Amino acid sequence: MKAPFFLLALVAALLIACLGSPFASSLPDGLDHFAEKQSVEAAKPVFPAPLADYAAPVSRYGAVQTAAAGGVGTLLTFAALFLGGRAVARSRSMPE
Amino acid sequence: MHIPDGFLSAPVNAATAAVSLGCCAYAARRAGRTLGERQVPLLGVTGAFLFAAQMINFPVAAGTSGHLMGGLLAAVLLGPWNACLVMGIVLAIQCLLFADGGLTALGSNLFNMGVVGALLGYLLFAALKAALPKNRGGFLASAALAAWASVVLASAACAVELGLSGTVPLRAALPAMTLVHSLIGVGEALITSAVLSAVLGARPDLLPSPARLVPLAP
Repeated sequence: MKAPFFLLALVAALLIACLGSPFASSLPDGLDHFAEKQSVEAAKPVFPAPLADYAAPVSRYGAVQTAAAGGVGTLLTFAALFLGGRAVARSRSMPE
Repeated sequence: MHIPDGFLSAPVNAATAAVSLGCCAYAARRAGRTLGERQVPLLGVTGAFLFAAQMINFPVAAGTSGHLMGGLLAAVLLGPWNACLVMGIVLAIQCLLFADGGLTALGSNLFNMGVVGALLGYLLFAALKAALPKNRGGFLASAALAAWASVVLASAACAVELGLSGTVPLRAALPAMTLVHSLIGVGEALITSAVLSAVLGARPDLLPSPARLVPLAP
């Protein structure tokens, strides 16, 4: 499996999410900017998301909240795809 | 470019959700037939990278920023159908946990970024790769151009959805969205080719076989 490459890739993703995200531009993205100009407003979300707006309530510092949210999301995404993919791949090789 | 609740009409969200769901169902069945254990780590880290990179907005013009979409990158690394699944997982987690993208708009977001971004983007990549020199430069150029186009096309799809929903007239939405996303697409192209270049350098065996490049010189 040559783990080091994938481990490095996961670590890189975590570094991007945790260390990079507090420094990301806070300017609205293309769609949001356009919507603001057109006075289109989003509706209230249909349900409350636990870490809405990428803020995990672990610290009073916004940057730490963002970093924590980024870390959680990155790891969760990895886990969902890795575990789900592994289950699918293994069910293929199991004899019926 | 994650569409929140309230931007699009119910019929538009329903239609895009139906297409997205259909594509994901096919992609899941296909994965059930073809996904190998060797691909699983790449599946995981690609999704992780997409999630992380989508958090990093970069300024593109006065008052606007953009971020990587990653659909074409995932399609080149994993194949277009697996990329659709990856995008679906990323978008679902972003929506459900972080309120990034509305739940009612999840189908539209997946249509724009998965169906248009990854699937259609991959078609463009394949066509470009067939036309350009069969070497590392041709491969990276194909990916970069297709990545750029995938962002512009995804934004056009969004503009059409806004128009069909009656939220913003198409004649206003289409030029505005495609213009700003043609700038954001440059970032997509640069990041996509940088990542692929790194993977080619470290683990060329990870790329699907058409990317096994014929060297230019004997």
